[in-house]
Amino acid sequence: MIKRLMVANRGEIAVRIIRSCKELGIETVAVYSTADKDALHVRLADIAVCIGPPKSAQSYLSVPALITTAIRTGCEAVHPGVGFLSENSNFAREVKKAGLIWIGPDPDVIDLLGDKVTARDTALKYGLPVTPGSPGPIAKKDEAVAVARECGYPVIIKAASGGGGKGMRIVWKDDDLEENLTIASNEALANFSDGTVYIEKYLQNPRHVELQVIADGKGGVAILGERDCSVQRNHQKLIEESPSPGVTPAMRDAMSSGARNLFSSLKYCGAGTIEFLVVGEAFYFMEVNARIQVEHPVSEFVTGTDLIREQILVCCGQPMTIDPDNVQLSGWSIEARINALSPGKVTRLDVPGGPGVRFDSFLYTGATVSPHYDSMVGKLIVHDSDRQKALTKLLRTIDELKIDGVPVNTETQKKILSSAIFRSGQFGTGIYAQLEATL
Amino acid sequence: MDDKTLLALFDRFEKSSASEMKYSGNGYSFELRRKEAFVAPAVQYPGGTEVKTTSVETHAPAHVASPAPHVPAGTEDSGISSGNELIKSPIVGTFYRSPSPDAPAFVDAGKKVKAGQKICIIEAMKMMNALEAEINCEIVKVLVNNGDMVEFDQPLFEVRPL
Repeated sequence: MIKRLMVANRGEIAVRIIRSCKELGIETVAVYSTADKDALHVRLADIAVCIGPPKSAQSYLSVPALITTAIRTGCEAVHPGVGFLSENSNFAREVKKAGLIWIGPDPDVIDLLGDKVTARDTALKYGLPVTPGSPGPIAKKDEAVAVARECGYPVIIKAASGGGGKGMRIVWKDDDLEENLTIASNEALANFSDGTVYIEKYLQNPRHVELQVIADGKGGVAILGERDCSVQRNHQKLIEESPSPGVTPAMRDAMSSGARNLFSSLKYCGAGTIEFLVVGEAFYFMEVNARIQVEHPVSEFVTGTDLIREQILVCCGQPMTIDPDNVQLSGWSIEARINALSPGKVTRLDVPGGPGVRFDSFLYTGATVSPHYDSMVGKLIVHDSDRQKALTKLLRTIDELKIDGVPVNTETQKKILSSAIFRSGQFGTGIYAQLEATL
Repeated sequence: MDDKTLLALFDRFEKSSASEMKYSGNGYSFELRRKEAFVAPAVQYPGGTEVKTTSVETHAPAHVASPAPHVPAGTEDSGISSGNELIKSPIVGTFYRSPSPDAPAFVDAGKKVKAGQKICIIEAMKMMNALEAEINCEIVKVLVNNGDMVEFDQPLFEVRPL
């Protein structure tokens, strides 16, 4: 097993990775910007190196600074965490070129899955349904009209290299197609240096459902149930749960079998997520996230695994400790993301407890929430025997969580979780918009 | 210039066969040089092209457990004489005092340097980044050993402005 690993990230996920490393007996190297010099991940790591100024582009996104640090501190592996460079195949290649282990799938696999047109084609090949749409990139108006009429309006124009809502346009009729095609392509070009766009049928109010995957790089694939991440605001997830209230055992089996084929054929290594849009009992492949995800703890709760540990093990050539043929889902888990509403310094922190309660965070009394980075400061995750009990527990723990000095979104989260629509379990990604007036 | 453009420029340089590139304008100025442009090909730094995992204990900045002492903030607590200033590292990398192992050091204590004069090299990913003095000054103390790893913002030289 490896002796030392660099965590190329910050905040809650860096803390999370360091914790698993400690249990695996792996020393950790933390990297930090000058804004993070007192951060928890810096305190917890065995070694910490300042890699740049607060601006991410010159610190957490600086490939030379990260590679230099990993080499000079004697690391054998690099864990990219989530966000930042976690799905950057160029960084993954540099890590490997430096003779280090990349805790993630092969850079070529990242590239293949990162291009949405290729990913769709790949999913189709392995028997996963995709939303009806253009078979490839669309450049001309006539092609666009033909595809849109075939799928039926509304349709959505998407950037092939896109994400986060950029380069996306929803179109309701022929007349608006040409203009939006140009806008989407320009937006895609500006944001991702690639103006390629494609067209899909726009599903109204679908569920966002994703499967958690751990694969060993040799064709072994464990599917650890699904997560429902339909509660989103501007494509930012707010609440996640496992299992999904909208997924039947038959749907789960069908999704899992396609996903298993896909990951197995790609010789995928590490943790990954395959996302679907779900309408009724129909599901459509959306994309693969070739990394661990923020909401992984709900899957850890219902399957009783440590996904970061499994991810590190398989990427270091060790067998996973999960039996892919015998994954049991037990109970219900819900996560509420705790987001700062403004930066500040924590003057007092009260963390909730009790059975089936977990608070993953980088906060401590005296910690600073800097304006330079993501607003998420923690995740409150609970586990109980059924959805109703888990929901009651989550509301109880939110009440216990006190973060003085930094305003957070707990009131909004309580309102969503207490709403009749969330309680019913019958909702799609439109739920936030439906509730927004009451929040 | 935005970061995307900057990174694209770096990328372009890396892929090109050019051994040197200078840029200044829009508030930025930098010089990129490949290792070959600097060092006689046969000669290698201990931590040069074949950068290997040297034991961390030999590198001052990598610390164990307590984060506080890494970067003396500003001039307080850093124990420098009043009126003196610190020149800090702009990047993470390996600190070299001379252009090649057998060449004399760019500067030694007591040396007076002019603004724009090269004072050291910081190597990151085989790119040799020459660091220049920003002001006319006298080098009071060299704070880092040749070949050591330096962090971002780590003091490299104590200088007396002239």
